[in-house]
Amino acid sequence: MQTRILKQLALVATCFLPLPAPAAEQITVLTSYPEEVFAKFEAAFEAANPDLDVTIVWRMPHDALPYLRGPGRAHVDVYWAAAYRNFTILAREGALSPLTPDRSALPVSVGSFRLAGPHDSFAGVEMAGFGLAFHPGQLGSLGLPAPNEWSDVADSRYEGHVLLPVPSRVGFAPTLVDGILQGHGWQRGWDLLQRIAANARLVTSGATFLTDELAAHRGAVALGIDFFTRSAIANGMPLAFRYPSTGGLSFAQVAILRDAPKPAPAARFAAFLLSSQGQTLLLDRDIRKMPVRPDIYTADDDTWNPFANDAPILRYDPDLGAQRAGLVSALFDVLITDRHERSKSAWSALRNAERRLGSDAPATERARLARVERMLSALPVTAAEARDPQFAAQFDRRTAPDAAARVAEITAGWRAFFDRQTDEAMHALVE
Amino acid sequence: MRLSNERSRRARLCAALAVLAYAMAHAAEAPESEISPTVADASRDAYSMPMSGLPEDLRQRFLGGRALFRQVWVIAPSADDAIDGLGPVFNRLSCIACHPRNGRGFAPEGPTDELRAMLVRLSMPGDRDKAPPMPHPDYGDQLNELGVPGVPGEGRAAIYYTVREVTLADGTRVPLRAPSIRFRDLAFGDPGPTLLTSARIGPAVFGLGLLEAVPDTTLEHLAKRPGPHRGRMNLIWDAALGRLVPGRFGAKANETTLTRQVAAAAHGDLGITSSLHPVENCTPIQTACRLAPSGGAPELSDDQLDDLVTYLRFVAAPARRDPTDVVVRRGEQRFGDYGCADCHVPTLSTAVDALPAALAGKTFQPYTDLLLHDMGADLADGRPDHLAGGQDWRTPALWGIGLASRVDPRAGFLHDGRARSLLEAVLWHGGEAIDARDAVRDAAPDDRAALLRFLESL
Repeated sequence: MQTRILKQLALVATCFLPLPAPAAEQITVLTSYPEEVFAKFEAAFEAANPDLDVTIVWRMPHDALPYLRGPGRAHVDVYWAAAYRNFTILAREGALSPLTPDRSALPVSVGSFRLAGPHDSFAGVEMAGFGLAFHPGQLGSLGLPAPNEWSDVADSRYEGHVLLPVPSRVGFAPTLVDGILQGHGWQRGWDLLQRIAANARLVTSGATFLTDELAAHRGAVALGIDFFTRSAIANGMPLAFRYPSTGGLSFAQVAILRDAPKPAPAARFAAFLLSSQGQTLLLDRDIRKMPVRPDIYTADDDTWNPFANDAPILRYDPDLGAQRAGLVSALFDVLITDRHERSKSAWSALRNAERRLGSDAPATERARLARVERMLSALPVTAAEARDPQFAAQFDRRTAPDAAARVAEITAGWRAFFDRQTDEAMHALVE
Repeated sequence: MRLSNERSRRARLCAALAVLAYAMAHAAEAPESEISPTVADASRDAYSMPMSGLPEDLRQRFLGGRALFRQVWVIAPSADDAIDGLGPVFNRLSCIACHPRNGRGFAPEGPTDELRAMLVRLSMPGDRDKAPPMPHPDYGDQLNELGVPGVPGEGRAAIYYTVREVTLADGTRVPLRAPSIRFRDLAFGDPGPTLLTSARIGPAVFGLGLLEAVPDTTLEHLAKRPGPHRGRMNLIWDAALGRLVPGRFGAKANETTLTRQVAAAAHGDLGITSSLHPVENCTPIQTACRLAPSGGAPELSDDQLDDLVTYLRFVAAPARRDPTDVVVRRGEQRFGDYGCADCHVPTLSTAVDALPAALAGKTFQPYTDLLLHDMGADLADGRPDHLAGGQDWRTPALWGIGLASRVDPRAGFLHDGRARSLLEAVLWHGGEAIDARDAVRDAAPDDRAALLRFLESL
């Protein structure tokens, strides 16, 4: 009886409920962030701006550019992604409208990287660094020290315990690899990458795959981007992460499309990303990106503060990295991915020979092994070519429509070059 | 003599070969190692761990399925044609949105808050007894709030709460919020006064392969128990088998297998077609929806569907914490004393011949009987679903529930997330569970605290 009365009262009360709130104005945001990231920003922005309602359109960077160049652009107000190359292309094509957020709390640049795009066409909103993720317990059980530098995991003691992402398959990996190349130089960088690859299992899945593999003891060290590991650590995984003294930085941007249907609300979304609230949200344990506002970092925060560190990593040139991402990925595939087993055995044979001969080997033997190493390290692309925008443009599938055919032709030549070099090196080794 | 020796030698050889063949055949059948259905992990990833001992081929499918479960789907056409086909109308962009970290969804805090991990099922009163819900002619069987660009979402749901208080025996007052649903921005007009609605948050998704592998005979046996709490099976017509099959997934046990459950959710929540749901979820009046590009026929391939199902089958359930703690044991005792364990049956076993074989013959502690129970008027949605009436709900599994808020602090309890704590959830119980609810309400504070401590240990 009491229940029935309560239900009747509840029904009467329902009649006096306020009418639903009027429809909020919708803005459309194109992004490639994972659900955990965009959903938190979406919810926080809508809570702070109840008159606005965010619609997410999701596309990976390689898929977003053609979408934003096509009719889909007419629906999009904001582009928000870690896809620097796309932003520079769209800015060059005049597809972005000037963005003028309150910059009073924003630095002009981080290291050598200017946060604002040309003519304020976009703004940097967050960044991520690259380094070594590892499982201290697993390393301990293997008797291996925690690595500090990229070169540490090139040591043969790490053989079979390293995970190396493939740049053509894992979104963040081109900048990871380019950070090593910029830090060590073109020739020495590839030499180091080959030695690391000789110890590594190649990985073609991104996101949390690396941390999951480490947690499952299917590898002890992984070369990767910081936030997946730092988020995993914040959520209880027994992992650690170190930034070597050289490496890349990845920046994410926000821009308003020139033809945005809702430019004013779009500007409010961009301003939110750069606000204290939006930047603090980057420190969430499920996100763990680096804010671009120095005032967000606190002394007791475990986030690596790029503004407090004069590390060489800050000298990384993202423009060069973006310019030659296609070239680096193609060369990595031909040199490492496609011939991994052969390359591993060649480097392993060289290491064994070095170990056998020892440090007091005769000069002629040392010279012979140095010649073998030079053969294995030889590259079909010079350092000058690697900095040449015209040369790199041949490999850019986003701007060169016929890139696939041209890349196939060029890489066939590289393949023959590496096969020849390896054959000669192995021949020289057994002389 | 020579012939005899030769025969003997051949016989021994044949026998040896037979033994070898038998051993090889059984070696091929047997899993590489024993699979453990629970995992001792109390972190925020506790609902996301694979069962240990998965053979490599299953592990690869598990990882493939996990990537799809976390995948944000893309509007067609797309260069990423394996993951395009979102919508044309949908609720969220990924599975993980409504099952954050594989955990429970959550209800909006009020009418201005969006349904971020919740949806509203719709239907019309049917004139067929024991049938599936009859979709609304214009809005279908679920309000899809969002649409791809150029396609209007069907409308928005707003959740309003009226709060009442329950006073416990020791004077503690517990506020309970009763939700009601109102719609706005409806794209196809007033759905009419007879529309039936039911709000649902996403359930936690782990240990589902074990629940699927519980034999039908166990459910039949449980449904025949003496007493007021024996429960009823929901029976669903299986066209392939040509017979009625007990449902075991969904808040009203309206899906019989994980494959059907996953395909239905992909279709209903994301607008992703599959071989089980090959037609886009557009009603006849939804012209723009019907004209929108498709991501393929179907958009979710059978291989992808298999991967998703494999993933959900082999996500481990978290192991209990502190089961020998004195307070936990006292709470467990009260759980039985109050009658909770009559429906939240602690232990079930999979069939010895269950498929996949890796899950056969496992005994586990889900705290459910997978049966429907009348939970009273206060929890009723008034929306029948096959044999489930408007007051009926399938007993939800309680395993892992003590980690719900750790996995996601927003996690809600009960089918629509109205309960913000385990105590609130208990106090919403009615119908067949009214005695258990009253026992908790009237319990000594120490006993009530012990009961809750026990639930938190699950």
